Amino acid sequence: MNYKDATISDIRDALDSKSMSVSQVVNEALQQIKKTEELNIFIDKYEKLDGYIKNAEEMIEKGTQGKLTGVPIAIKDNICVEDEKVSAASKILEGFKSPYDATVIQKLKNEGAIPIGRVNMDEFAMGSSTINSSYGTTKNPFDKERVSGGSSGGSAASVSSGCTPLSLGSDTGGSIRQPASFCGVVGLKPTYGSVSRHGLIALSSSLDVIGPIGKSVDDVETVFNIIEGVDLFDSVGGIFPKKNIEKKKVIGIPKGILEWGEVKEIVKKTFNETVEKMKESGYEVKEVDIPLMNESVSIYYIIQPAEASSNLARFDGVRYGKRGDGEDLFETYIKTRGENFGDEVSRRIVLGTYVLSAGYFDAYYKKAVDVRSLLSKQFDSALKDVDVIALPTTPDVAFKETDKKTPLEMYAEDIFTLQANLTGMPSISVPMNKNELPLGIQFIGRHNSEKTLFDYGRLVESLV
Amino acid sequence: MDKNLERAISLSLIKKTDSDFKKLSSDVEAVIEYVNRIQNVDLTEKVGESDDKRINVMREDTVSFSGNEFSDRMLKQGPSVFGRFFKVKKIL
Repeated sequence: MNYKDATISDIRDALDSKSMSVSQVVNEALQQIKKTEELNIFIDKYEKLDGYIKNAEEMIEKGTQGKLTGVPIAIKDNICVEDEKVSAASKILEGFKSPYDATVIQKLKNEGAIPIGRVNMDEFAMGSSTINSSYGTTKNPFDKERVSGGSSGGSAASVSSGCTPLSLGSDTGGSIRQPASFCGVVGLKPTYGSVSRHGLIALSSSLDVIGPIGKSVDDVETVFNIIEGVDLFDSVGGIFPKKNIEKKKVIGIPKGILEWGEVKEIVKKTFNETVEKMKESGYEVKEVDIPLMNESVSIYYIIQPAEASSNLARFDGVRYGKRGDGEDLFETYIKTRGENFGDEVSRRIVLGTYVLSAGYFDAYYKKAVDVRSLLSKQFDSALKDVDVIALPTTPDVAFKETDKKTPLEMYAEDIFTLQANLTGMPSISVPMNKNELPLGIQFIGRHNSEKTLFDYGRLVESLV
Repeated sequence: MDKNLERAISLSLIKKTDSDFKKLSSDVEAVIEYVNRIQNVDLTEKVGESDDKRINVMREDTVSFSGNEFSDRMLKQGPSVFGRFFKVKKIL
């Protein structure tokens, strides 16, 4: 087995036929992590790795193994693993160890999967490049001068560079799909509320969701089926009802989106070619009208910072993390936060505080929530006659780390991914090209229509 | 600078040097200017209160763990601890 290119089933076969032991598989992973060190993907490997290996080996010995037993998985640095360090790539949580497992980690451990280590991300998941990480930028495995995307850049690069066949990321505005697109791998943003966020360091509670990244749609589906499900610790579990809807083999494309100024020629060309191939395979394409599509950046950059400013209030240096040295309690607070939050995090906390402040609440936050409802309605009605809405995942290929972008230019990286978070709908990004800088095609479906997205993803895999 | 932005920075409890403060406020001002376009969205199509299911989702406030189950582990993470308390600097 060539570990670097191995999928779950390749590893499963090697382990179940005893041609490889779990330690050998993990060693292959560690060697690959070492070889790709210059890409700056991993922050560190987990201290209790030997225990996870032993557990998986025992399961295989007893014949009680599941689909992921012995399969290494990289974990984004905002998902808690018991007794392991977790920092959301922020200086403010340096040295912090989680006292408990996130629900998704508990589920993976029950399955015998191997959480191998924590991977890089933008600080508190705010960003599209990992440039905002306190650990430096994760480089793109296809071109070291370019970024891996973000915020789950480490998760996407780990799979893309063959360090792990799988990883977990989180997606608040595109943070799984955008790096998956930049790194040529598959990423799923599940339906809001379908995967428990207990143990995820919160960014924006009405948008956050945990999801898998893998080399194939099959692998991503396998992980999703294991981690999904409602639990007591996430109040929004199952908030969107499940409905059975028959597949129509019709794809919707929002009117005019390819004419947006940000969309590069190479993206238009690759997207149109892929859609053309889908038509040749018997799928119908319909233009749909979603007038508020273009308002997503303004809705998102009101709601997300508002919720982030509230969620990040807990980082004050009292109960955990770093503490600034102040004369009194107030000075301790402002020094702790001032010295340890990075620029982007500071910007969004201030922006969030501003839009929530008395006198502005109705004009910004309340208005944004109402416009989001209207956008959701427009998506619901656009999805009445089609199975999925197709979009490019990103308006361009991965950019260079040296391309200096203003905050607003950086926010425009997410023009096609924000909608799935704002509407709570599931979305998958699948590579739509080969042998060049990667680009993903994205399918957004109705709430809980992941199965349909996997079918569309597999169709694209067969055509590219 | 907008007085309200100045107030928001102070409410954010983030201490900055003067030059960082200037950069932070001009960056945030640019974003506020951009998101202001949301004021032009016509909401007459929408009737009544927001029906967004994701606002203020509540659950029963029940005890899910036995007493002290996590206390020692939590206290271990504190930057300064005295017995079973987190120690802080004087308030006044």
